[in-house]
Amino acid sequence: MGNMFDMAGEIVKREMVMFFLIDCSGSMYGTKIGAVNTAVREALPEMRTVGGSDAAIKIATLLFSNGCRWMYPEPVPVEDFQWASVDAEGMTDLGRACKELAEKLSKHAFLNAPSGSVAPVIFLLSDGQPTDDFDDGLEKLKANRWFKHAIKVAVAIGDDADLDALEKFTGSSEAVIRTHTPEALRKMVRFVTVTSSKVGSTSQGTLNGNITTKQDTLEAEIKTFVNNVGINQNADDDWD
Amino acid sequence: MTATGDIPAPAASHAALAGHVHLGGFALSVPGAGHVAAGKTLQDASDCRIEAERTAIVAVADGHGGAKYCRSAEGSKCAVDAALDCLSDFLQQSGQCATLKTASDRHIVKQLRQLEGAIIHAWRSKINEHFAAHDLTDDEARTVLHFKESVRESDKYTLYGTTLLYACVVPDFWFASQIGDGHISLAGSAGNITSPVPDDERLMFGMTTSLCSAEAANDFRRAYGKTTPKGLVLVTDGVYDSYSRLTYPHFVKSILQHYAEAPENTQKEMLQWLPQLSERGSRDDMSVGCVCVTTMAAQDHTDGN
Repeated sequence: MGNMFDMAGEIVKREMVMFFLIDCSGSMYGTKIGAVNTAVREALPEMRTVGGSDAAIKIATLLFSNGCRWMYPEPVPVEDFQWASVDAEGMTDLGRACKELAEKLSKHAFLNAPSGSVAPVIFLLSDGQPTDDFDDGLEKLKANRWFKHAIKVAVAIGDDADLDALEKFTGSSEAVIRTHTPEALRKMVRFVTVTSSKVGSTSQGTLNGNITTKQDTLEAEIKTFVNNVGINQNADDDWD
Repeated sequence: MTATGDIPAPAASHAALAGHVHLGGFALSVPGAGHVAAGKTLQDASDCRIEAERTAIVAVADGHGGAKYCRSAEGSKCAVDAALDCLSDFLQQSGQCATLKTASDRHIVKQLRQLEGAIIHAWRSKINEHFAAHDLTDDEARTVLHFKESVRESDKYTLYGTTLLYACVVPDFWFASQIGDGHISLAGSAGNITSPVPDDERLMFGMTTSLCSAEAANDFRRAYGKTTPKGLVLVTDGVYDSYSRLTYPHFVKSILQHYAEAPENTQKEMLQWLPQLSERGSRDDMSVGCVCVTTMAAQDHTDGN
């Protein structure tokens, strides 16, 4: 027998969008971009189980090299998301990517969930130095309040990555992890995507006082993972 | 769970009751589907008090949950109790808001802000009492990052962190206030549903303001009116985030319409509905607090005393 409130309104889940910003510049060619492709594919099944709990997770992927482009025109539910293999060539227009991201971080664009969006997760993977006006792009992005409250993580791939730029992007050195091998990259991508999905999709935290933010929670989890799993951040690069 | 305030039947032996306003309401809380699955206790609380069908006060609260707010279930209960106690005092001191019905906006806001301050103070007193009577367990102590040899004032209240939403309705006046997320809807005399309490833009981003904050007195938002509404519905964010923004007003209308027709059955159905809503929606704890106003039509009685 039905309940008197059955037809009272459209029921929805809370929604969280995870943004991947992927460096597809020429220096990522070969093992590095291959490792990224493999790492994200491997992480997807586990992300799908996280999404089923408290929030619906959607994925939006922005690829940048010469300019930038979205893998799909809109965020895709994680259960439907298929990772399209990415190639690498060209420059590193991270500034352009920042401006494009700033435009999409809006309730009138990618954050248009029917019951309101939860603060997004933004995951940047890069191996090099931005070759366009990164500071200008980042300034536009920082003016966006969704970006300010987003959970931000960056993985620096190899020795040549510009850690300063990545720290400026995330706002914290604790949210930047360097990886030197494909195996380490796969482990970090898997860990960060699954953990940030869990942290991002559960409500917690308050605005002031000694309250831990989701960003703090994720950084603490990353630190513990890096120490426990022994991802050697002082190792020499091994991308052959 | 508290369900109070059935609308009493008019006494048949009395004289005509032309346009007599009756107030009724209820308050319910159920644990979220996600919390049940994770073995967590209910962090929401709610309560409602109807006095002589002429005054109605209702409150709902949502404890923050999580390791750092390990006593927020107690915090939300204390918040609801503090709110209703202070509202009762307020009604008595103001002559059931008689002093506000003709007051200036400035005076009304001042009174409501003082009330919010009183509620914060009352909540902290309850927390102090509870904390004094219940030492931190080892597990609780470990989760408090800043806990060293003694607990700082801010750490203590943090453990009990909670949101709070409350409302008061009397004939020709109503007011509502909230700190943190959740939602308050007003059904006007024409039946239109509005959101009278201003938004806090900061809350868009998945965070919430809190009763435990040192800035709590500045973080309340409020609304009031010198009218008799058809009703007010207060919900914690577990409910509000389970409906699309476009269709949520239908849910509010549905509650008030059903309650006006069949108060007891509506509460029973709501108790069954909320766990289903949590399962399909936010999976969070769910609280609904409602004040429903009905106007009895004039009746002629031939039997007199």
